[in-house]
This record gives sequence, C-alpha cells and structure tokens, in this order.
Amino acid sequence: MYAQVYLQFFKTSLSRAIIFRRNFWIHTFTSMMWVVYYVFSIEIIFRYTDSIRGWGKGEVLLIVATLFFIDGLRILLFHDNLRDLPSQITEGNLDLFLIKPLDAQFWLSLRRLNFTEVNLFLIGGLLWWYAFSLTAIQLTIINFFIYTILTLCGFLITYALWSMLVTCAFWFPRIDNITELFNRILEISKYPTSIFKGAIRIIVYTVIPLGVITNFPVQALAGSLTAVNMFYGLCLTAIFLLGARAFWLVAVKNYTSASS
Amino acid sequence: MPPIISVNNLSKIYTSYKKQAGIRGSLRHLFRGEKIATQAVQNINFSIDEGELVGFLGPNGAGKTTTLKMLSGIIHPTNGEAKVLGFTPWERKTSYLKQISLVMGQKAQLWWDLPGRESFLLTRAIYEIPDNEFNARLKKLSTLLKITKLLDVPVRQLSLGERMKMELINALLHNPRVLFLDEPTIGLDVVAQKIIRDFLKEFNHVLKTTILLTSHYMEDVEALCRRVIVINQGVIIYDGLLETLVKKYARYKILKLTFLKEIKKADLKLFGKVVHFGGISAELQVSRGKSTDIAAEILKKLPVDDILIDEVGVNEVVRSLFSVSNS
Repeated sequence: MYAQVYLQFFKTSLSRAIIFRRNFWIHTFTSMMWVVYYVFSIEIIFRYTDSIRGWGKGEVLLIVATLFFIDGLRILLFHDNLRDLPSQITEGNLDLFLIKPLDAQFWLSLRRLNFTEVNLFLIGGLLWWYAFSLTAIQLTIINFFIYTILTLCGFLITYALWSMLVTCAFWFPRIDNITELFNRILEISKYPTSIFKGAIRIIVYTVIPLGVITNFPVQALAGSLTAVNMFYGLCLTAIFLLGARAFWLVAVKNYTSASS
Repeated sequence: MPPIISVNNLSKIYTSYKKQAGIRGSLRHLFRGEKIATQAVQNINFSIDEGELVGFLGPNGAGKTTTLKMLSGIIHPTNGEAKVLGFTPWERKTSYLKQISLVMGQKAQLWWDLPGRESFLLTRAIYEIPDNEFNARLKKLSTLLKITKLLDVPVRQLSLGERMKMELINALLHNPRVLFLDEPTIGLDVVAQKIIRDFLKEFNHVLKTTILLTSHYMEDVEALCRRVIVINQGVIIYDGLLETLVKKYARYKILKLTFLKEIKKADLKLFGKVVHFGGISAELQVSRGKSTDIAAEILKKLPVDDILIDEVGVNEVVRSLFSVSNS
C-alpha cells in the first residue's frame, strides 16, 4: 500500500510542478550562482595554501559536490514537507493526517516532492567530476560503493536531525523558520570538519554530525576513512533515525490539537 | 446489538501557560510559567447505535470538537474510556481508521492547486479501494452532490460550497461505518446547505452509516437528527429526542420586521414580546405554533415592507436550556 500511496504523491507533485514549471528555470539559475559562489570562496582560500589540514582543493570541492547531492535529495523528498510541518501542527491540520490509516510521519515527511531543485544533481555531478579530476584518487568499485552508501547515510542523518527539529513544534509553536536555521547549519558542512577543535569538534561528530554527513563519504572515496569510522557512521545513522521516530511518537501522543 | 459508540466517564483537561501582557510579563513567562488547567470535557457518558444520526449541540468551547477529536483518535483523553466499533480510538489501529471518517468544516484536506480527482486518487491508494468500487462510488457521490462537472477543476477555483462537497466525497469514498462531522455547513449559502443536508440524510438512510454531527445551525440539526446531545462547559445537559428538546425550550420563533414608516411600539406589543425595536424595524418573539397566523395579521394591520420568520438559533435553545439547568 505504501508504494501505491507514494506513487500517488509522486504523480500529484509532478502535476503541481508542471503548473509552476517556470520556477524550475529560476531555481536552476539560482543553483548555478550558488555553485559559482562556493567554488570561488574555496578558490580564494586555496590561493594562499595548498591544503587545509590535509585536504587538498579537489577533496574540499568533492565535499561541496557531495553536499549538493545530499541537498538535492533532501529538497526533492523532504523540503516542502518538513518546512510546513510546524505550521501544520500549530494550525491543527495535523488532525486530518492522524485520522488516516497511514503512518502520519510517513505521510507528512513525504507527501510533497519538490522538483524545482533537481538541477542540483546535474550541477553537483559536474562539480564532482571537476573536483575529482583535481585529486589523485584511484576510483574503484569498492570505494565508490562505500562513498555512495555513506552519502546516503549522510542524507538520512540530515533528514532525522531536521525531523527532530521540526517535531519540537509540538511544544514550541512558533518555530516556522527553523528550517532556515537548519539550512544555515548544514551549509557549514561544506568545509572539512578537521578545521574545528575542542568541543565543537566533538559536536560535529556527535550531536550535529556534519563531519559524518559530508566528510566521511569523501574520506572513504580517498581511502583515508578507517573501518571503525565507517562502522561508526552506519551506527550513528541508525541511532538518528530511531531517535527521530521515537521523538515523533512521543510528540504525537502529547498532541493536543488546535481549537477550530 | 451493542452500541457502535460508547463513551464512559470521558474527560479531557488541557494545560496551558498563563502569560501576563507586556515585555515584563513575557520575560517572567519565559522562566516560570503559571500552569492553568482547562477542563474541556468532564465525565461524559453516552452511547450511539449503528445507523443513528445524532446531533451534538453546544455553544463555542462547550467541548463538542474535543469529544469528536477523542472519538476519532486525534487526541488522548485525560481520563475515561470510549469504544467505537469495538476499538479504543486513540490507539489509532489501521483497521479502526479504515472504518471511520472525519470532516471538519474549517479544515481542508484536498490539494489546493489540483483538481479534486487527484486527491481522490490518493484517498483510493490510502484506503486500498478496489478500482470498480472507487469509480462507482465517485460517480454516485458526485451525482448526488451535483458536482460531476467540477471533478477536474482545480480546488482553488471552486466556491466554498463546492469545495465542501468535494471534501465530503473525499471523506466518504472508503464507505466509512462511522462518520464524524464538525460544522459541515459552516459559512455556506442556503442552497448549498440544503444540498449537503439532503445528501447526508440520504447517505445515512441508504448505507446506515452512523453519523455524529456538530453544527451551529438549527436547520441542520432539525433536518437531520432525531436525537441530540447537548453539552455545555464539558458536561452533557441533555440527551434525547430533538422534538422534546425543541418543544420544551424553543417555544418561540422570531419575526423580523421592516416597516415602510415608523410605527409605535405599543402597536407591536399586541402581537407578542418585542425583543428589539428600532422605529422602522423590529424583532418580535412569538409562540412557535402561531407564528404564521401572527405574521399574516401583522401584514394586514401594519405598513410592512419586509417580514422574515426566523428560528431562535440553536444557541437560543441551548441558552434557555442552560438557564434551566443552572437554576
């Protein structure tokens, strides 16, 4: 049944996207500008140095490209849904989702696909290719496979973290713009996390695991990620997903709806 | 046969935080909020048999919607229990949710930018409705509600009434055994109200769907429900036939009059109790059975420009009920 429902979400969203197809070109243009901005900001840093704590320019740009993939997926599947979740809760529209014989979290996280940023995959792909050519990495099926898996893990952690943030709206009603904050935080993950020290360094590998989200995949590709860290990445993903699920269930149980 | 809905000592207390006005108040609130408990529903008991169409009445904030939300599983009660179709609603078992439906006049569940049909396809997938049943029901429902031609028009281009009809279709496609309706006719014009009313009546009659309905419009309740449950401040104060309730408490109708020229209040007093008097307009409270006779007489004797016979609103009936229940 869930596959059927998801297919319907997909079709409906596509019909909507066609209505608003002009947005697509505007967004493509904006995304291109972002790439230029990222590449330039990194280009400037590398004008003064050859490496940032062991990361060469190519590797850093690979992180950026990986972030583009994660962002592309995240926006395609979740963005509109999680952005709107706080207002759904505050305005009591959640009621209508809770009375359906379909998991409300599934529904509320996935019902709308946002196709406006699919260009990120193409742009990210081009950037990835360019960045890769700057490195000395040997591409093998194995390291590419691990890279893909860890990128997906990064994507799932991103979802879980974001989902937990918006679920807070059950207790704190006015957090509609928390998605904006989340986007800003995520943007930090375009840098190698090794630039951080002390407490922040611990944070970016645990509570807000930016390092795991974008750095691990690229390290795996370059062959510098230890097996322990790989295992850690997988476990952390599971913990985040389970945490997000548990948090949601507690929240719904305490849901008091809004008056109508 | 056991009742399809049974409610035992159900209570709901909402906790919220008191906040004083102003910046200082906000700051204080930030550190130690003072809790206030609002008792929305207090130990209510009732049961409803399969196929009944029951009206749930009460002023705003009486606890009607809270009760509907507990019965449809949206919120957990603070105390007490309820069984609907043998299930505890707030456990939200899939097999339960597949048999019920809820329509809220104030909330839309259809996709705003797309035609109703797209939303119905999603409903079909969620409830796993077989194709032939889906098509037959969609045809039947849209014919009954007279909106066959509008199925392919984006919802945002529909009028409020048309949209409400779409919402009803969406809520009924899976053929629920129990239907909760929260103010289904709110804000609609008289014609749309009537179509929806007739439709619900037919639906309840033919399919024996159990319906629990809240409404502010006396006409809704009069046209549809034989039985009503009246709730005030979270407590049930009447549960029985509507007929008995109306005979007992709505003994009057209101005549709304507009005159061609100013008249004297004394002239009106002969016909009934003057509730409102403004020289060329007035409202008169007259006994229920005699309203048409009195209206005819006023037309004969006074320079009437316009006359309207109105129901005392449901709130009026409920209010007179409260004045009795409070004393």
